[in-house]
Amino acid sequence: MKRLLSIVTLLALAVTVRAEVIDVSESQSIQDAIKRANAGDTIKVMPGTYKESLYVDKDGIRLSGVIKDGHWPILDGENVLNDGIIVSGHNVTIERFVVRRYLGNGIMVQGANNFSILNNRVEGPGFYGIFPQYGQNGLVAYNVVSGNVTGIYVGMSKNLDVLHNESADNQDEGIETENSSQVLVEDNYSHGNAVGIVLHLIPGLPIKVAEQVVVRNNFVIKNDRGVEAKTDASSVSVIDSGTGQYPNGTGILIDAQDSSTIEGNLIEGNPSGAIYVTDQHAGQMFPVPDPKEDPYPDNNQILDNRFIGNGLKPYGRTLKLLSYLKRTQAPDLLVLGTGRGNCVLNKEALSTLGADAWSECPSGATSHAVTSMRLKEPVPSAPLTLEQKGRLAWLAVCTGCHSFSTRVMGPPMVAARAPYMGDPQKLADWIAHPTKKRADYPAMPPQSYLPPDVRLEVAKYVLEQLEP
Amino acid sequence: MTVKLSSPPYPACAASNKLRLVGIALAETLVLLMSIATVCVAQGVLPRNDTMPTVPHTQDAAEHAKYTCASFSDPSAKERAAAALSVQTSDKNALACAADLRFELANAAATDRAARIDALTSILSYVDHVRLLKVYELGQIDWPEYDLRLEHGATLAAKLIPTARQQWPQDAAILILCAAIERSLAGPTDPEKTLAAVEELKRAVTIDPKALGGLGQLYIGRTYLDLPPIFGGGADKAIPYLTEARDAAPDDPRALRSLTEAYDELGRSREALDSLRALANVSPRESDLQLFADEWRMGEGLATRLHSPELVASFAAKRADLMHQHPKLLSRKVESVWGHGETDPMSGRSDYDDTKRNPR
Repeated sequence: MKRLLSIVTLLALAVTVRAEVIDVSESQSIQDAIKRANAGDTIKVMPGTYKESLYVDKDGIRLSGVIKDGHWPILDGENVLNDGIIVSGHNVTIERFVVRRYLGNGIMVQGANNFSILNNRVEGPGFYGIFPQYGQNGLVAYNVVSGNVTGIYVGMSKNLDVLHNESADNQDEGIETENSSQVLVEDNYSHGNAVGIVLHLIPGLPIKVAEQVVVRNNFVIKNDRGVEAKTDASSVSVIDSGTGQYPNGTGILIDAQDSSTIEGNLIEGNPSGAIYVTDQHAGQMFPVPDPKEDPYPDNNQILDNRFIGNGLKPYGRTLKLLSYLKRTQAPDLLVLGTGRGNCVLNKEALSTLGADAWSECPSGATSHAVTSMRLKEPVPSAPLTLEQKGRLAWLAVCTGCHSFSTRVMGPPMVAARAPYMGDPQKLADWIAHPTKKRADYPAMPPQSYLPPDVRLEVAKYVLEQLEP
Repeated sequence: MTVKLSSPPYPACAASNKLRLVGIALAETLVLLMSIATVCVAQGVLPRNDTMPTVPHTQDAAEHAKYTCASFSDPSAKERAAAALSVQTSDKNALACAADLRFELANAAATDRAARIDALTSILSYVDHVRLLKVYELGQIDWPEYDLRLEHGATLAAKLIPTARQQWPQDAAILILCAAIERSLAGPTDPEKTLAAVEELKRAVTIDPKALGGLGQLYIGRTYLDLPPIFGGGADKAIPYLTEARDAAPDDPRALRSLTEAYDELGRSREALDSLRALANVSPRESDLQLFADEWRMGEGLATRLHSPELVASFAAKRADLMHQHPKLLSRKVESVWGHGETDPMSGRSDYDDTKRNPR
């Protein structure tokens, strides 16, 4: 036993000794440093502008920006590059970067666990500013995210803390959890988005549950993009997905989410209402019937929150809904659809609509016992296989522009892949340095930041596994 | 006969917010896209200061909505062709042609009740089929095409329904079909139109509760199930009608599945499972195999939620077998778009993997 302990100690020391700090300055490539780095290394990036996409697929990397005299390291996609940073290694930290002008996602964590995304400024235009997907045990904190479609998008993940962020002026949502469970969303400032905070169970995805999210002590202020303000609302869907629109101008949206808590938030000045709850039948934003998902929001509790001046000028979807009910203003709590076991604390103190089935929460109900949703210890994580990286890269990178059978921004993959069938290496080489091929489609951005083996794996997936 | 539908009523404005964003992904499209965005802004759909362009997929919509139908001078040949097309329930163009041909037959014989019923039935079938295509498409890329197709269905219906109601004001079957089409065209999106259609359906089933094998009750029940309580819906209201529909047509999988959902919503798990077991015992009809493939997909999911592994396995096996035998049946698999999709990238597996060779 003593000998075993000695070996473990020596190994630990060896790892400690091996951990290095790699400095990167403006004239150098961060991706080159990532290639050189080993697990446990820290890459310190000096202030300056770096025009590259980063792919971190090694475990234990700390990618750390250095701020000097107020100058940050800036990752600049120049409105050409797809993604700022894609992380597919476990135990990775990304901190102190400005990430801007990427067209896909700013900082994305894919299939990786035990991650931290700290103190970054992610500016659009982009799809999602910060986007952990298929991850467990992560921290997203002290970031400022603006100008994307969604600021912080937690996709199909578990055991996350989303703390102390500011998410503003995003086209859709400030913060969204999608088919995610055990997430603490606390002390964030979400303003100027179409919807402040969204808890969402989307049908048709591999993860079929969304539960145990605590939304607490956030400032959800003036989420009003004015997107539909000038429409006659005739094309705006009221109940079902219709045009796939959110109830814009809303503070907090709960869609088919279960066992979650809304507590201690300041919800102010959201023109279409403070809290909007819906089931998948009535209000789903994505309409795919997925019978494996329970479509109803169940066992949620709305506890002590502060509501100020919400619902005074509803528009779009909410306005149309209210107009059917001969109302001009939205209540604090609007419930569209059904659900089971939901409750409100001090229900009498709130204005509500459609919440007849919501009971009074037990006196003194609180989520204060929840201090973090992260696990006490890092979740053991096997390195991702090449196949997993390939599939994840398809989702993260390719599906932004391609679907299998129909035109998106790029041509349908069934057509695009045809010249490469049987030769995945040829496709892998092409995506690294693509050229414009089709007059009616834009040129594809280069994907050379992906390592050759990952590119090859994506190509194999596209050519050999992707089916209608 | 080639049917070309009208241009999309809006270039890209119906695209979701997500779709809009993808447009920014490539700067080369900016010029084209800005012209689209200009139109949208003119209609007040995009944000005032939003420079994010939209996706140009709608330019394909009219092309995709085209279909070709054979021409027939002989009415009986036309009738036979329409009948053959109407059972191709996985094929949107076949259903469209069936509706068109039967529409022509009904117009040519204005007093022929059977022709009118056939035409209305085919229009309903087409409209419901397209609505389902729309519903199953997570990416919403083809929605403009589907909207054009629904518009075409609405045009046909608008020409037949008023005269049908005038000519057969007490005919339950005619009234049910007219109201069902209106309900399907409105969808749950417009509660006023939907509830008006429900009232019409109720009137029809009062005239003849057994008309069309309980189809009226089925549509009433399904509508109540889909409508939120705030608009007068609810599972408790749906159940009596769905029960009548089931009793009138015990082998109609739609009534059984809807009953399962209604009982589940109310937490009546035992009754939900009873309905689900009954659904598992129904034999598929050759005339509508797609319906059974779809209902068994729903059945498998409901069995999962109701914790019945035995029924999960039963539905999955039956559906896989059916899909394997009929490779043109639609799988309803969700296509990957924008980082979403049915396949789990960690395992490489997706729901309904065994039917992935079938088209979506």
